[in-house]
Amino acid sequence: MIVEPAPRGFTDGSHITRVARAWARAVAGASYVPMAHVDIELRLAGFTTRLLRVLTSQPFDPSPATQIGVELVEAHFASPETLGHTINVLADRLPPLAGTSLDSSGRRVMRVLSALSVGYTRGLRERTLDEQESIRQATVLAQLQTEHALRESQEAFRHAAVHDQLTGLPNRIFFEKQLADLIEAGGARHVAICFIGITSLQAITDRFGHVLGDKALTVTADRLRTLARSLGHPLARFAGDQFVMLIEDPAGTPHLAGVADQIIATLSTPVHTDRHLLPMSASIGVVDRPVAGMDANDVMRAAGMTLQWAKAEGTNRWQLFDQARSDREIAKHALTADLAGGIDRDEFFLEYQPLVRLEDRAVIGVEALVRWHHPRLGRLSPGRFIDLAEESGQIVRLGGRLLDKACRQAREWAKLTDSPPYVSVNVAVPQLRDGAGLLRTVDNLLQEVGLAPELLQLEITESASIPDDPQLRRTLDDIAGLGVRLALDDFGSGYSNLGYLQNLPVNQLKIDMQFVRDWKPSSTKSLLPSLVKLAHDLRLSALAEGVETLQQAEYLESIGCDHVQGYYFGKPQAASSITSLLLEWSAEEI
Amino acid sequence: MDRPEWAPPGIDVERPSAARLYDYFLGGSHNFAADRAMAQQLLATAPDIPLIAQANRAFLRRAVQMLAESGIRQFLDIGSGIPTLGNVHEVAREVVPDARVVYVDLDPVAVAHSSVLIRGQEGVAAIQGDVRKPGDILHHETVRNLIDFTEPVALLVIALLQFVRDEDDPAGIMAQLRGALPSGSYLALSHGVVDGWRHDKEMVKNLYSRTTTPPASRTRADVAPFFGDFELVDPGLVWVTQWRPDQPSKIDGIKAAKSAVVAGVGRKP
Ligand SMILES: C[S@@+](CC[C@H](N)C(=O)[O-])C[C@H]1O[C@@H](n2cnc3c(N)ncnc32)[C@H](O)[C@@H]1O
Repeated sequence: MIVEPAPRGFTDGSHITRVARAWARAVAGASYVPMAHVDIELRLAGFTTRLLRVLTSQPFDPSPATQIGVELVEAHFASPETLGHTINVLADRLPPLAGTSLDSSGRRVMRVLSALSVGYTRGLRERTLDEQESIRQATVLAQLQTEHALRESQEAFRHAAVHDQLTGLPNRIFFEKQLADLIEAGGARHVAICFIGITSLQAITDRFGHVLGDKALTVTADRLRTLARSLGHPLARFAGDQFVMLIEDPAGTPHLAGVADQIIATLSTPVHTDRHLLPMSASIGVVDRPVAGMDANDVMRAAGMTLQWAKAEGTNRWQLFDQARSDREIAKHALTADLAGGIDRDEFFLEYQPLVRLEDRAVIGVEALVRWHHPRLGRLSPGRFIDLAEESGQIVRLGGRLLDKACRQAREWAKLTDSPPYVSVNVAVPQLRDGAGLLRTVDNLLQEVGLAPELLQLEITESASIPDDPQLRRTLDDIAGLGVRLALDDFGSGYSNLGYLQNLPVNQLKIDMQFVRDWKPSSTKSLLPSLVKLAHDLRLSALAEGVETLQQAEYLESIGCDHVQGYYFGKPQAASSITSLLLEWSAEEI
Repeated sequence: MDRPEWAPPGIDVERPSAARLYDYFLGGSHNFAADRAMAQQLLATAPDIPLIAQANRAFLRRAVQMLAESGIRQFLDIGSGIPTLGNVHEVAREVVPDARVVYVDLDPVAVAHSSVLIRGQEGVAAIQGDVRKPGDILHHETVRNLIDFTEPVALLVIALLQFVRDEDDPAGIMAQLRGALPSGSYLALSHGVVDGWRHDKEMVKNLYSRTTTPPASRTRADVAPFFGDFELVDPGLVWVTQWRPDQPSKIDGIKAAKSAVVAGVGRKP
């Protein structure tokens, strides 16, 4: 900093320095000045010199002091207190330096200081207004930036909320919104959904872990994305290994078939990783619906169902939604749901079909056949619900109930006649698997009802699982051990390894009705004689099912078949009809 | 309305901010009515505050000058505040004309103001950042672009940590910041403390609690650990007016202990 030379003849530098030092001391702490003290003193010395020049100007003109006031503020000597202290110091210290008569210099000093005050105040006001303006602008700017940042973070948030992290594809939420918007807008007439399942993924994850599983998934997603872009159809990752492609106004089924084939071709290409070649496969369910009146939920349910059908077909297959099939499945589903309540409400009952000895046409047994009196659908035959009961696991409970009914009925008949019929009850594989449970049920029932074990027969279907399953074999042995009869149902229709028959504890082979139905009096080829012989060779009785004519009965008799069952000898009927029948017979015998 | 977690901190001109209060105490007009109203309340309780602010600001100037003279060419100023008088890049560039400076503050207005002030100047930047997330600051693109972490850096943490409460783990924050610096770097730090404070502590604390950054109460002894293994340069951790004063005089207008701010500069071995 350069100190301006003092006006010559008035004073020397040391006087000025002393004033400046006093001035600096007076204003210290009154405002923040970003300078070291030496610099402050130098700066104030400069102002002092200039003030002296104004004070001694000829002719006297105080106005330049205004500018000095402004500059003081600009040099950051800026606060009301600074001005006060400045006036005090200068009013004391300047007049002696000015060297003029005290009186006149006193008046001059007053005018100089008043000019300085004007400049100082003006400077302070300007500075305040400038700072207020700059903070206002900074605030506006900051507000814009904050809003921008907020928007960006909201966008990022929204993007994250509707996109899948792993693949970067829109997620299910996004897709469902897209579909809902499409339905609402009503621009498209038809919309098709390809519901894609990457069927190989689970196995990859199971075998190689999640890292490779994710890798396969991202590669798959990229392939699909590329395909979807080239086709111009939106794509989303629906969940786990499921993707959806949305096709607006598809050009008919052949077009959809083309798209589905392309997707399968794209997705069934193996994925290369550093060390593995991962085989890939996919299935697709395709649903095509008119947009009008469409329910998004319903469409997705249909798509999911169709994907299941496609998977059931085998790998790399696609299926088109089929309304009739869907209706059937839905009905089946509803029926399954009704099963448990039906058992509780005792809606199941038994009818009995006579089992007749050919030799004397005597009713030696009856087969108990279940029916469901459904509250809404009326009487249902077992074909409608037994499989559902097996799939849903209800069969064990239902089977137990039916056994109970059958045993009690058998006991009634045993009271009625000296040669009562045995009751033959069908037992499903899940019941057999519940081996100990079944054994206990049967044993308890016989005790409780007081039924002779040989009046109960259990019919098991010839099934692939029996011969290989030692557990099932043991159950059968145990049941036979109780003295209960066992029959092999539908014989000849299924499993054909005859070897196991030798060791099975059964009493009777029930020859499947197809053999009787296929037999004609003119037939030269029939398995019936062999089947009867087979039974006899195994020391089992042979019963032919589905006998509907006298001719059939006579033929069976001629080849030595022991027993028959069929419409010719009696349809399944209410227990009371069987009772009447038995009463007639015993009356005849007497 | 509660701002969601992912939203950037907003601007509430009705709520006093430490940055604008500090500006007011330094005689600036970069503040709003709400700030001035609270400043008046603070002054009624503790009339020394402006002197304390000035003393702190003067320390910042002296420290930066000393650091620049020691050959430091890059400065990271966290909690830099509203640009007032004697900003770091101005002080540093008097010594090192191409000194690089990054200003970091939580207060969006302070950041916007700084950006306007430094517009067009190469090697100087202002970013919004929260010292409580030191990783975000250290990895900020602007910081990475301007500051070479293989060369000594001066980290300025001036009158900031009194706004970081213990539950935010200031010790951990400082350790992370120090750890990012190469050997030969410096930390200049000042901190408002309660010892030496002769005004109503509770009152001041309560008032500051209404700002966007409620304060912590620490003593001189609590501050020393923030330097970690950095070696304090002379005269060590002292009252802010005692740190290499321009001239040994009472001219500062405040007695050392009453400054209620301790300050020091440490060098990373
Ligand atoms: C008293 S001022 C100090 C300004 C400057 N460092 C000085 O000493 O002159 C404190 C500053 O710290 C800022 N601040 C408070 N909490 C902060 C945080 N968590 N992260 C970054 N800055 C913060 C405030 O916005 C304010 O500008």
